[in-house]
Amino acid sequence: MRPNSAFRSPRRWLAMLAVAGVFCAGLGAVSSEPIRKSFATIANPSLLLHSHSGTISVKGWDQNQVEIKGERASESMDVLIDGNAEKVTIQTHPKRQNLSPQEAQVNLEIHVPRQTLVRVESERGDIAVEDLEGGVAVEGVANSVTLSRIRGYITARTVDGPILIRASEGHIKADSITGDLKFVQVNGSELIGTTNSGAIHYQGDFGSGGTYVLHNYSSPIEIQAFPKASFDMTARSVLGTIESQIPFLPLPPGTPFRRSTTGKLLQGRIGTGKSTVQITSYSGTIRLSGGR
Amino acid sequence: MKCEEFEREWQELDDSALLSPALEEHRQVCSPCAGKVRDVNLIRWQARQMVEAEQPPERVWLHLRRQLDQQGLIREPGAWPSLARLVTFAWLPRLPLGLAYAAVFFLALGGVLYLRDLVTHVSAPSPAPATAVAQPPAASPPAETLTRAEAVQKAIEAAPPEVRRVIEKAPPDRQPAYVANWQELNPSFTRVDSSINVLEQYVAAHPDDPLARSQLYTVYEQQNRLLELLMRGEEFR
Repeated sequence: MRPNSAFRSPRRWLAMLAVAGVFCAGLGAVSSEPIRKSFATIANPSLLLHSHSGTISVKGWDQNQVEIKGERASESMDVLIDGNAEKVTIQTHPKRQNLSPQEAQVNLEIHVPRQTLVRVESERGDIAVEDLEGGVAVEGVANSVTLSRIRGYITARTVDGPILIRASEGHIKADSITGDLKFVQVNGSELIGTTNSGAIHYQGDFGSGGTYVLHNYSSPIEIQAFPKASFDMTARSVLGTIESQIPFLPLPPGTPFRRSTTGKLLQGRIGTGKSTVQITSYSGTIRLSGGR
Repeated sequence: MKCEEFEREWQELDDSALLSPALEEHRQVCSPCAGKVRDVNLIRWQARQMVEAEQPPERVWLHLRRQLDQQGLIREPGAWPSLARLVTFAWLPRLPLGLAYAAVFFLALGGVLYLRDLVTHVSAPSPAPATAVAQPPAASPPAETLTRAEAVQKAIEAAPPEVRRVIEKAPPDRQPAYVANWQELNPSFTRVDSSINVLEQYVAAHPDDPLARSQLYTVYEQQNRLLELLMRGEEFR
């Protein structure tokens, strides 16, 4: 008996190497195995997503279904998905310690019913949420956050990533520490935008008769009011300047903040003064334009 | 202090993350120098991540080596086949077998790499074995640990009081992660601390200014949020 006879033929060992290669290729394919899962839901479920790194897209659609697609940068990340008709949770979790941000990346694209209440927590990566009416909360660190066509309660926070909210309405709160805030065609009963050293840009008509509060410590605040805008404005910068190209009318007597204070102060009315706008900065320049 | 003096004194420090009060004072008011310190701290932090790159435990290599040795595919120096055996090409018929074993070896290696997370998770929860593999024997791992512990302690001592309080209250095994978080968030901490100092002075001089008090309150909230973030996600450090 010759136990090694099977290996004496070059064809056999070439075949073995080929099989080994195919097996290794299979392993490689497994490491990039896509994430796909869906849940039939009620019309207004909740979605909770806790991710560490990677791009996140959440879009509303006209189906009572949550659909999750995604991919991992490495097999070192677990993606735990659990759900039922009322609630879907997604959590990325490292299998080992000391993962780099690149290894921890999980990119997710999620479709949810429009009335879904969405909460996203993440440390790194772009976050985009759009076409929702059930309320959105985003908690980021170094993320770039973009919220589009959202109605309802909107909360977005970052440490050093920019926040852009556009074509949205509701009760809106956006704050960052060093990130910029940008609002384009955003209206609501209340909008509060706060950043320490980021710039603030608002472009719109301050509609819905709401209260708009924008303030930072330093960096410019730029307001571009649309022609149909109607609001009472109080702008103040303690050490910075105020540059206005808006033809404000004087405010009626009894308006708050009218007493004399240090620094630059501008108060005035556009249209019938339906909404209230307060802009403050300690050392940033406030620029106002538009409104005709 | 001028920027040139700052650079000269900074370069002479044993630990560039540990600034003297004079250097710290200059850093607070000079954004170019603050940027340099931030960049160097970031590079140091990233370098530490590279050192900690995961590798299979040493026992995996030893096991593979022992198996290959038993199969006669590798030998210690001095134990090579005799010249006569080489000359007579007696090894030639075993070449396919050797290549097959090599294929199995690489397959096993791939498997080990692929399953390394599972292996380290089940039997080696501490990342210490990876360091042991990366560093040749001797006593280098304890030295590394000691250096890192010292660096963590120095960083804690250099942190602002409110940050130091949070880190010191953490369990010792989590303190390095909190220090790493602080180094990452340091630019934001610096800006917020600076804002607080300025606004506190302004409010003290203008106690009847409601907007300034409101701004100061907002900045306090931002500082609290940063302190909360110190304690996040230590598994990623």
